[in-house]
Amino acid sequence: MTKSDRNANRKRQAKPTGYRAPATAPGAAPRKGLLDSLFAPKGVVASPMPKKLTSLARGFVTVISTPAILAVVAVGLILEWVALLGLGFQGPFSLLAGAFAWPGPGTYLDGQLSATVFGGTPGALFSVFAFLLVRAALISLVSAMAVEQLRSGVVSGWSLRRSLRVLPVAFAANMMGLGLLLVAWIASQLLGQLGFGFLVFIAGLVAAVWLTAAAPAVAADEDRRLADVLQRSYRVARMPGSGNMTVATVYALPAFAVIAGYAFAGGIGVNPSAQQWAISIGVNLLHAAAAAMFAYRYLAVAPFVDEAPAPAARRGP
Amino acid sequence: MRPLRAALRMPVVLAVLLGVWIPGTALAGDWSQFQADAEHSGVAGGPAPPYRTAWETPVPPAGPQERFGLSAPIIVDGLAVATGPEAVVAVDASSGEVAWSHPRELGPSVPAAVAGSGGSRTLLYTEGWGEGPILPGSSSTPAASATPAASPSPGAAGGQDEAAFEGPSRLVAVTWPDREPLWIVDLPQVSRTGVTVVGDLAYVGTNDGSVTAVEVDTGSERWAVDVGQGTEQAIAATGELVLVSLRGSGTEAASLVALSAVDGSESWRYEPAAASLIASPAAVDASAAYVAFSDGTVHAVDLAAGTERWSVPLNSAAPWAPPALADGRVYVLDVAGQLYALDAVTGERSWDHPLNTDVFHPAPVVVGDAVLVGTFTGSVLAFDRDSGDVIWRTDFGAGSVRAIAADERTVVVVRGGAGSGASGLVTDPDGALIAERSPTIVQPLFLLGTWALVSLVLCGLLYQLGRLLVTKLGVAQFADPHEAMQDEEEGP
Repeated sequence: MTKSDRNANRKRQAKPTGYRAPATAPGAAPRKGLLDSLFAPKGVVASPMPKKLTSLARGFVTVISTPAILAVVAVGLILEWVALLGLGFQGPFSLLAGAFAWPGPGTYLDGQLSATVFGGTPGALFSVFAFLLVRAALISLVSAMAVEQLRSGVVSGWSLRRSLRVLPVAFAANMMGLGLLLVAWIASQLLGQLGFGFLVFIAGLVAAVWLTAAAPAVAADEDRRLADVLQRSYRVARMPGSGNMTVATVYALPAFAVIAGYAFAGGIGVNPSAQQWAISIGVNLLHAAAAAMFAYRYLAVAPFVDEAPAPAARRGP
Repeated sequence: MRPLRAALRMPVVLAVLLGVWIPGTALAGDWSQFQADAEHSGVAGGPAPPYRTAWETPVPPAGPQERFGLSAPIIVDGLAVATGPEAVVAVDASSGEVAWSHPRELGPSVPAAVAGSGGSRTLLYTEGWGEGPILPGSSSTPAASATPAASPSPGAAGGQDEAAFEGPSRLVAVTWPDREPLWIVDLPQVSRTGVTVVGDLAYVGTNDGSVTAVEVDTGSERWAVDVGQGTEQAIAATGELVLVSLRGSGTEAASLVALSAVDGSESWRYEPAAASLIASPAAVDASAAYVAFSDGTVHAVDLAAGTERWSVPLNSAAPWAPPALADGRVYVLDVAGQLYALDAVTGERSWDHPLNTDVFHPAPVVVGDAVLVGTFTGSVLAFDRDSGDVIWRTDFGAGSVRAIAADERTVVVVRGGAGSGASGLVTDPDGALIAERSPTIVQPLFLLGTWALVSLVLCGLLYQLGRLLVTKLGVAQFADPHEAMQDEEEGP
């Protein structure tokens, strides 16, 4: 194969694929309970879901081999920091280590950030939604880019346009994360913050990641309505033998530890050092790698995900 | 600004020259009570930075388990006086030599005060700790003092017998500087407020929420009221009002209550909209009281009406120490070591300077054109009042800085922990000032340059690694039955 042939092949591969038609599984599976995938008797299940380490590696490689994603993370951070400075925020800069974090750990950060920036004012309650929207925009962009990169090998303007369609889904995922976190927080207050209550709170974080992991990728890859996307994300999460809960836990726990342990430990100051920038960019690239990993895992199983069962037909006369 | 400051100092200068004592202000040139005066202005006409350490006097921690150090000092007649758990200690502010140590019953280390003028002055302090402090490793430590009682005055105005002292605490008056007993007044609960003096009245509060006004000359109780919530912070006062910071609880929020200096009746009670557990001691100027709350806000409260003038958020809480007031500015220090200069009228921030180090106890102190701050890690820093730059700093090494006070010649620093004791700072004519800008001032070139450099290097290296890994891993392949189906439908 000549070099020009390879280039021609690459161009063919690089051509934006456009929106995929919704995938359809061979037959609609019967409904299952919420936790069937966790508590059902374990057998040998042949899952089309990629292995966990393969997913991690693919997500990481997708991010660091895509200049556009690298640029979005770096530029997104400086833009968010400058915007926060404009709101009168003085730090700690380390809070931005969770700028690209997934709903759950990221939602927790948004709550803290709104309290820090607008603490003691009525705006604090509403500003959390603004922070959720910013996070949704960043996740949308990274997810759309990851999907296009994985599908076609390049990133084009399609990702930017497509991210606008992903945005409502990512915002809804963030709102679900906020709801889950509130419930988990209330439960933890009732059960004791340091004992079982803390476990419940952590479970809320993991559940938020588990439920929403596939949603942005579904929205980026297929033309579906918001409710359909969220339902499909839920069905992906429950796929037997997928290891989705493990993957969600492996992401949520370190992400929360970094946010809770590092992000709030920094000092006040508006001119971050080179070391602070390096840590912040590095950690957010890991969050972006998680987004790419979720996208990769969804694309791998998309043809095998059940469609929503058709509504029960009305009885005729 | 300088002419204005000079004008404001004029009454004090005149008072010194004429030998006149102005009620509600510090004794001229002295720092006669907590934060200089009853208003807690925290202002001294002391020596200007740069400083050198003139002396260091170790005073080991004492009391149960030897855990308790010295209180915030006062400086009168060249003597720096601080209250330890079992003695009131006076140190010569020019040499650092211990001038005397006056024993007291075990009690919290809270500031004493000197009242009166000329040859008739009175040293006032509280003593007694009820059941004693709760300490690690012991459920309760009554800890009877090994030292004799501080108030050997059975025949004095208070009429209490030393051996009969069984109450939780008491206010003690002795002559200054000879420490001859004058009178003793029993208090209903342990007192942590220290003593505040305005004119011929001394005010003291207790943990259970009682506030007592005592006539300095006779020890007679002028009035005593129950403010409903416990008070542990220093009481501020003017000629007309007594301002008490009240502790919050599970059911009640922290608040600031103003009592009439005449009869103790409640003039107003200020409770911020957002509930807090702790209110700092108040600082007062002619028209407003300034108080910080543990929710990280500082408030200006109108003295006449008790209504809020302004409220501004801080980056951290500042619940332990009062703000300092000078020339229409309010200087607040939060527990993360950030010093704020706020406009007293509007609350607008003139500047701020974060140190990013813990600061728990010391209040800011204004000395000339500088604001002095001490840290938990044993440093003392001077900030320029106009720019907010750090213009001088020193590190004492061991021990946290608990309080700073100043008279015209010496800045006295009281430290706790491993370096427990007192130190004196005097102007160093050979020293040099520095100029450290606040890290909250945006430096656009540095900000963008650092970001761009790190982004390019880090992302460039990662991209190279990514290309290498893609070569090893190959492109991702996905099963896609749709495309196959579409191909079949399109047909040849």
